[in-house]
Amino acid sequence: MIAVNQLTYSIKKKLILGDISLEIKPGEHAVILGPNGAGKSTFLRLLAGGIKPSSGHVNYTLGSALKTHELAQHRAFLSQHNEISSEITVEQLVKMGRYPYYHKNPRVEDLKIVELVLEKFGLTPFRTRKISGLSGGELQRVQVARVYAQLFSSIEITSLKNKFLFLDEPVNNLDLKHQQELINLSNELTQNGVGVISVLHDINMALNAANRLIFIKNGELVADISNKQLVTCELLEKIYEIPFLKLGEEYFFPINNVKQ
Amino acid sequence: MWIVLIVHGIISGSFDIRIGDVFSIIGEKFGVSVSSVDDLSKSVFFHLRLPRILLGLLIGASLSIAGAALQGLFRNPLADPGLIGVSTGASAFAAFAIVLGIPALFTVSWLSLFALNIFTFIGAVSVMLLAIIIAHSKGNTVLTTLLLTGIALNALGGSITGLLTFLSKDEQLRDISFWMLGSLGNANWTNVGILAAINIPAMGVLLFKGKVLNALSLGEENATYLGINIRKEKLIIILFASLLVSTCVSFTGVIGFVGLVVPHIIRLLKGGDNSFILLNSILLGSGFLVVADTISRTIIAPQELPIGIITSLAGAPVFLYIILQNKRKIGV
Repeated sequence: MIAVNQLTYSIKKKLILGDISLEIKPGEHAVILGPNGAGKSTFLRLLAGGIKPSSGHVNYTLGSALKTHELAQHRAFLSQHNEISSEITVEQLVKMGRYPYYHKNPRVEDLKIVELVLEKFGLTPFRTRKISGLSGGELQRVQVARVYAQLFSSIEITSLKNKFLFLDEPVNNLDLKHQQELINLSNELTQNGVGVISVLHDINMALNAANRLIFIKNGELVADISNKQLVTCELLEKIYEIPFLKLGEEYFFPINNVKQ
Repeated sequence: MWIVLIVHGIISGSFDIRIGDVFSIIGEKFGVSVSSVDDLSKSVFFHLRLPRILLGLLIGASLSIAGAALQGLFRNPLADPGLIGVSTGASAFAAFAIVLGIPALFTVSWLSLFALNIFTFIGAVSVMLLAIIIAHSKGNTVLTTLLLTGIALNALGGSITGLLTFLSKDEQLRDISFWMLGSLGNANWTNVGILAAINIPAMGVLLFKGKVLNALSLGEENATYLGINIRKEKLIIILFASLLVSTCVSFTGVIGFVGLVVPHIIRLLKGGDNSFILLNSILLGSGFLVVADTISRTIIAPQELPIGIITSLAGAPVFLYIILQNKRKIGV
């Protein structure tokens, strides 16, 4: 479990996030939503320990003060910025997901996990391809494979239990098929006891993929919803400042202001 | 290949040693008498050629692995060990020492012998520390600031050296320019010993930073998510790479382009895994410098061409090629 207690974050005295407290459990998929500049990515990075809060705490139940390399064995992070400066191959990038588990050379188990992951993501035929030659979407899929590989403590699927996966706008550059595959992957992970926390822009995808929606606006927690019935046009209008239309059971569409 | 180059370096020079004699001399040392060798060959081999080759190996390996580490750290293939101003700072201090005649001020003989080396080492290290202190903010070393500081310190050091050159007498000028172009000419067992004692452990530290550098190629924050303590590792890499360059510069003067070109050749041929680049930089760099030194000793024998001329002459075209390659990438 991740417990967030009175978290604030500011840069040069400007408050980016203010006084957020919540808990995230293994096995749930929480999606963070909100307008541009609301502080979604910042919140995600704070939860993952990539940046330190100005005040308040983010605690993992496994131990309050985990060291950098210990924390890396408990959570993985897929960043929005995925450019890579060295000329490495698909396989080498996936292997980097195993870095938290070995010191100098990968163990046999690490290599086995890399094989398993390459196979799962259909990357085995491309393993020797250079990263620089991949398209944006292909690179994104290899990065997803890398963070997936980081979640395994051992080759057993049960070792995924109580791990956390952070995804910052993971569907960027992915086509519809691969977007759906990513949602399937996150469902599979939550079923195996992984807590997934992602930042998404598409409200319908969020409703489809997640069992919890956290709305942030101007650095404040506006709504934390586990019952999807509570997501209404009024709430979305309050957050995005444009009118919405609800179609069917759970589909929302923004309506053009001018036409209205 | 590597061994052939080294052996070639041993036998050629203004005094050629026959290849058979080399083995005889080594054999004799281990108590195996193969054939008798004249004393002059033996003396050249032990007191001139061997320390010089070893110095070349150490310097080439040190500069190359330092270059490879800094290129990985700055995520920039054009980074060079001289980048953060270490070489230029050392040069300025050396020129200062030469013009003021500082070595002559010491009466203790060993101190006077090493005064120039010690002085330049102090120069290199103080410039390095100054750059790091300036680039340090809230416990983190900001790499862009470090680069910019390096540029400023390079300009400062360069102009001080220029000023001192202007003020120097003819003989001092020759010393300064010889120093600026680098030479393995003062190789002896003491130098080799000191350099080996400092640089071999330092290289050992950098050799295991391949994983860190690979993770860093994803960006500093992503490396953190992979469990790398970025602040600590950055400082270690900067300190040890600069230490390697500082000791090199203080013994042999400025030998340009080795640290830039060698890692890049490996990267072009074999891709970007940093553990591989670091290890092979040691091998290729040491071989490259011994060959360059062999050329510098033999091309206008019995005189010697400064080795910096050779490495830059070979290095500059490669540098231009790298720039052209990058230009093409940016253009697309």
